[in-house]
Amino acid sequence: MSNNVQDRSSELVQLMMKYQRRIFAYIHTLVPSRSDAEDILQEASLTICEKFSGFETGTNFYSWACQIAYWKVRAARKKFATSKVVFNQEVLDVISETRFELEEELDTRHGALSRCLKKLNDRDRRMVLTRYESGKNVTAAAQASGRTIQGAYKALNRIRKTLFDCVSFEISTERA
Amino acid sequence: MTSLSDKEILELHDLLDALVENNLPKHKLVRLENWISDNEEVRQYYIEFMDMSSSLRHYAEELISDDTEDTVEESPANIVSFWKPLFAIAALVVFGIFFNQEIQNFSFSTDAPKLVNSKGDDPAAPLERAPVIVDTVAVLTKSVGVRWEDPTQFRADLGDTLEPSTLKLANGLAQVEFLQGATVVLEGPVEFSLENPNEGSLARGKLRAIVPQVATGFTVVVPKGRVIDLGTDFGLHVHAGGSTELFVYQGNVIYEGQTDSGENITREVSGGESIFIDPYGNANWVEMPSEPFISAADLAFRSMEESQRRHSAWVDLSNDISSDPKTVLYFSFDNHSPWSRILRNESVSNSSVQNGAIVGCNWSEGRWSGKGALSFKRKNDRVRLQLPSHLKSATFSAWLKIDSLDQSISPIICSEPKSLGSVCWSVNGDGKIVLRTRNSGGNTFYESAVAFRSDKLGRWAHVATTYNADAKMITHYVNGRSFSREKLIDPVILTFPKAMLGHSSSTKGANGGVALNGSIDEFGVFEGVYDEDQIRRIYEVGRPFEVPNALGTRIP
Repeated sequence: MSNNVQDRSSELVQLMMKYQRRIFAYIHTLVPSRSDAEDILQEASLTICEKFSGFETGTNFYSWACQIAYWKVRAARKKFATSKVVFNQEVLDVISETRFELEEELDTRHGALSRCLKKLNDRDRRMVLTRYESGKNVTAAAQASGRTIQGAYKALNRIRKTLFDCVSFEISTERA
Repeated sequence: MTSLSDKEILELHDLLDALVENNLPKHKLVRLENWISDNEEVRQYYIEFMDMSSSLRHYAEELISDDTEDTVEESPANIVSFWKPLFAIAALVVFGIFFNQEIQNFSFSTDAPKLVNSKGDDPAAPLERAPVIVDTVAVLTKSVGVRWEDPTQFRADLGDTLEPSTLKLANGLAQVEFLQGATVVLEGPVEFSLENPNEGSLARGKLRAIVPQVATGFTVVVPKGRVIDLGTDFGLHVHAGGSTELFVYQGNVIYEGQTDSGENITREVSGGESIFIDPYGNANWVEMPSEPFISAADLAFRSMEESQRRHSAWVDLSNDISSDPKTVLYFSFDNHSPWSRILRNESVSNSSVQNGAIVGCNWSEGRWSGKGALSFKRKNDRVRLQLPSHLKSATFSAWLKIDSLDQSISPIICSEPKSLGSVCWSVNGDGKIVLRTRNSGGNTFYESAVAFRSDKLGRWAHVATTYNADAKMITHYVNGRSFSREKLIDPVILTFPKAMLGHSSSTKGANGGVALNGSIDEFGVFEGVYDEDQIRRIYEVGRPFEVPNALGTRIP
């Protein structure tokens, strides 16, 4: 393998490591079902690798990758047509557009969430993180926290609200 | 951009919560879709919420490779661990084995750092917990003669849900019920911290813990160790010098601690046994605790004594209100039979005002045991009033319990809306107290700030509103304190044609009217303006003094 190919592959690794979370977050905003969003991320990642030779170093990788992801979402709409959680094209477009305007703030919120998670008590933190582990569902979260399924749904609702409010508060404090 | 109301934010949050859990019905999805499309603020909220969901996934994946929960810091190593499986697949397809090897090397060289468990395995080590945010762990269900050590610091009111916090009582008794089911009676002077729904720590003073089976494992941290309950009833006393006494009344308790010389100590203490842990952490068996502990039954008895004393104080106040010539209408809701369909007006000096006629409503229990209240549930529930008064300035006062705010208004007293000066006093769907008056130009609404949030629903609260024509001011009060003020525009003489308690027949879109979804157990209309001291007295003397079944609906 030539040095040039090695350099490009190394560049791709670096860029993917830097932006993969944000690319997934972008897809997840358009496709609220987590497993569907993960499927699309897989497909988009393959295409990003395939087409990386066409990416111009120094330009905005995140935007470029999100364009690929956007078209993957569009292409997948047919597949998700029976799903109850997919928005129409017009709404997808307006969400996508607004999301780009918020990127900087979303990054700040991501950092603030880390601090807010620390402020949760052990039981709640364990529960919410279990829920978001790959392949885990509410039942697993209920077991991890010793709650009933119904109780777990209620608790997750409460914890998400708490975290959301905490993040908003942290952001407003930072700005003040 | 329009600003979302609290109610809308709650609705939006519930929609999004259901969305991420794949529980959102089709018609609600359509509602959300339209809302996102039409409202920029909703769209932003949605994006921030979904982004948080992605971030939670990210942080959850970070922790998979490390069981400890003590860190959620982002690091390059963790990013690699999250991405690795996915990227390896892609890399294999496009660049072949060499590239894959490079990734493996990279991930190997940046392996996640070893994380330190701040708690360690030492039971006597001080717990290094992160400060906890809004997160209920217990409820204060009884208090007798409580004096807080530092009134400027956190002090809980009866019935308050408690977040992780420290209670410092200079004097008196307080009963705290943890969400997991354990009950603790604190005896002042005491310093007790609530850590989580099944754990507290006693820095000094006495407590008695009653722990049902469901809360087995309830833990109290003491200076040299911790006491872990196995489903029982025990007393703890931490002395000023740092020694601890533990007495077990029933069942078994485990004490785990460490002496200053580093020796780990474990003692299983059974019913009738007692140990003394000296300031150096050595545990010794003793015959009996040096002083008795106050039990929940003792507290209930003392609480009952105080209840009787306070009930007498309320009866005195109630008599004062009844005989005050400025009292136009006064319902104490006391001493009515459960089948009574007449609500007695106790105002002795306003004979022109008649008793109310109860339609539909049921009698129920009021702020304390034995106190009557009327409960309004169905849409036709109401008390019809005859109130011929014409008031230039007035004060409205009510003790009420609102169960839900899911309708556009929760009427307290409303009269027919078209006559000049007619009044409707209510709480709107956003939880704001509203006084509506009919002026020559139409209805004017005087709204307070949000007074009833979800934490106030289902609990007794005192509300009052004064209409001051001279000072041209409307003031709303909640629980004895001035809550918000608005300038009075175009004063009118207040009238009450076809007035009804707990019901409004003129609400838009509500065919047949709307009843308060809740209960009222004291109500008064007074001529003139009560000042804050007078209103606070009504609240202070009348506030409930125990919280029945506090945890009935709170355990998640």
